[in-house]
Amino acid sequence: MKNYNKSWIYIFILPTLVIFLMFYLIPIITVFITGFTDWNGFDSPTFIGFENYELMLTYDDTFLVALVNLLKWSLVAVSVHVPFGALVAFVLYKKPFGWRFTRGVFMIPNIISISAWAIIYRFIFNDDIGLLNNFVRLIGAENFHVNWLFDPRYAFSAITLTWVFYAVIVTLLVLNDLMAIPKELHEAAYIDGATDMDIHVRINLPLVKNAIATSIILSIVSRITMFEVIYLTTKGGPGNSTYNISLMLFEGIINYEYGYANAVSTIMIILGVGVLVIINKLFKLNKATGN
Amino acid sequence: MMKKLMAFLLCLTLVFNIVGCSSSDEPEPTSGTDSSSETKDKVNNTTEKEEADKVEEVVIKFPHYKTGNNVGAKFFLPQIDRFNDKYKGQYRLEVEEIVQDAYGDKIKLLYQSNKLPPMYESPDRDFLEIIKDNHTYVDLKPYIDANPEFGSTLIEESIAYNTTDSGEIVSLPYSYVRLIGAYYNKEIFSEAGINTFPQSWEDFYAACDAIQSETGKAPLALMTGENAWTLMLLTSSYMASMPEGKDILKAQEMVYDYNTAFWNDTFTFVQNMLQNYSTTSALGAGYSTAANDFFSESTAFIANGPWMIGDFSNPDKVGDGFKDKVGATIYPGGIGLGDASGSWYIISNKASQEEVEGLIEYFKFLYSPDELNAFLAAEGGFAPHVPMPEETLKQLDPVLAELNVSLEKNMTDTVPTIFAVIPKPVEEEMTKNLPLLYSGDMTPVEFCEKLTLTAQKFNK
Repeated sequence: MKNYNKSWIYIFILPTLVIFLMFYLIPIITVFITGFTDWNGFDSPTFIGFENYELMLTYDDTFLVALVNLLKWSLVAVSVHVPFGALVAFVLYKKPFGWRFTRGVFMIPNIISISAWAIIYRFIFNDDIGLLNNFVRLIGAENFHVNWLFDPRYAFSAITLTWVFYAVIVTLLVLNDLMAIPKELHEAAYIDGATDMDIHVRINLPLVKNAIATSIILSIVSRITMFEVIYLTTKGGPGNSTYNISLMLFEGIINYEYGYANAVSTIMIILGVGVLVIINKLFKLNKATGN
Repeated sequence: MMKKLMAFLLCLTLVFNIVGCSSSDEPEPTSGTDSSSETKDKVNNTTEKEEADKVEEVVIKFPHYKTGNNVGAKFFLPQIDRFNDKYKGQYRLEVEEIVQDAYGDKIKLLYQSNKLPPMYESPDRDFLEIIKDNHTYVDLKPYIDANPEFGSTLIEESIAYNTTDSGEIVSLPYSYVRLIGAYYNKEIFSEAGINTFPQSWEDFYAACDAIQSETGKAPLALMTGENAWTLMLLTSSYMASMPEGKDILKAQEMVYDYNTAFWNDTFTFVQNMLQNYSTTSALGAGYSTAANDFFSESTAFIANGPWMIGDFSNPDKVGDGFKDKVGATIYPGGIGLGDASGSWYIISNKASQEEVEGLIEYFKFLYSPDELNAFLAAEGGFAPHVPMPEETLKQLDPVLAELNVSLEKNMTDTVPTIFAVIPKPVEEEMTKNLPLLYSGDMTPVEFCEKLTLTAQKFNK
């Protein structure tokens, strides 16, 4: 390639590079560095080594609780959220009656602000005026009273229900890959005597593996960063039953402990990258994409 | 060639746009390290420059939460209009709407990005300490000294609270006190055979039991969500009924150890109130739910400040004739909650001199006898150095007048609320664990242990 052309490449890359540096790399480096400082967010930070990490990991059981909750939500994401989204994609792929409508309706939760969504759920799960309990009472259980979001036995499940069946991103990713599969492959399989199930299991599923892996990554990372729904409903309670790492970060911020908050952020980044690496390895994404 | 040139220009524009985003067109700030003599000079120069500088109207923009549906908007916004009318052509205040829950975070964010508005309120006590340390405020003392009539309205206790070690006044001291009382549904009390509000805690419990057994209604409108406001007011008054509690509240020192018999007893009281005398909707409820429980006559009692009184005749919230059923009182044991300690408006050191002068005029306007009395008549409270005219007193809302009578006749002492002594993280932890206390999944002792652990986590 001529040097003349290369210089144009650099010029076109420059804006992206500037944006990446300003809005991603520099903040990430700042977060990492200030995680080792005592900083109230206003005055100059003071270097304190690993004290923030020590406070976060050893002071009480909140980090452990947050990690366990993340693990539980991640399992739900992998075992229910992503399979459900993929299943919907497989159904829509057959283009049954009203499939476009269904796809549109499935999108609705994603176009509503998460905060509004959280408030809606507060009302759905309300004991007295909530949609859920009133429905249960309507169908016969007149004395049914469960305060879903504030009863420690149900709060975790209630928070899980706010996202677990809204898997349109998974559906769109999988559906997109499904629609890209050449028809000839299916025709050849039919000629060889394959059933619909065989085609789904032996052809379609392997070919949408990348989309499923990407969905898993997105879903777990969303669980790491999940904040609004929890904060606007249970604030991590009752007790610590819906507590997560994002709330630890917020806890640092409201207490003017920005160093601590950034140490928590660093852990979140590490967890996110960890998920990315593990899913890449498990699904052999690099090999599959030929990179 | 033309295409490449266009592409290059587009890239350049994008880069300039990004760089341009970080530029600032803020007015020249007032120095954050002004000495008090410099400020005094500015005050003196004010009078000399006043006439010359009146050519252009000074517009002062600041965010505030007393807007929209906020209960305080009803008086606050028309008052801003009155100020703007009075100083037309000279100063104009423009309020940027923000919800109360987000106000504190917004101020912190603006402070961090060095873009504080000319006037703001401190989100919490820690923030006040930070701005004191960094001197990012305009010292109000020279302005107060230069305006003795204005200064004479201020309450000494509030001046002391807002005065730094170096003698500067960091925020506008209060010239009034609004004592928080409680409201009860006389009709429900009467149905339960109680004709006067109980004056002791024993009688209060007996009244609650009677209301439950005679009317089948829950006696108290409580809440465990947000900051558990109505519950914590009742708790504060209970604390003040014990000498140790009174001392703790009056000292206004943050508490970092809750593993004591006193605090165990306090949270046993909380558990008792929640489990035995509140509605099931109290679990996780915010203020609106608690208030609605009272407005809908599902409960007989709610603790809150006099600013709530306006809602008793709001047809959007209550039924016909509701206000006539409401009685106002102070708490059992003759306790009034609230005092003049606390910070209010702070003028940022980022404000221009013209803005500072405009805001000082606004403060003087707020504490002018007409405005102050109109405010107190609308939202309750009293100004020790600005007596309310007889005529205004006669026109007071009956519920507010009843509260004032109760304060005058029965009040034995005033104390700040529990929020004056619990650090912010403890407040958060408390509301997070109240459902467990309610359900019995956590004992008061465990609750206190949890609070202590949280209090000490960030205590340096």
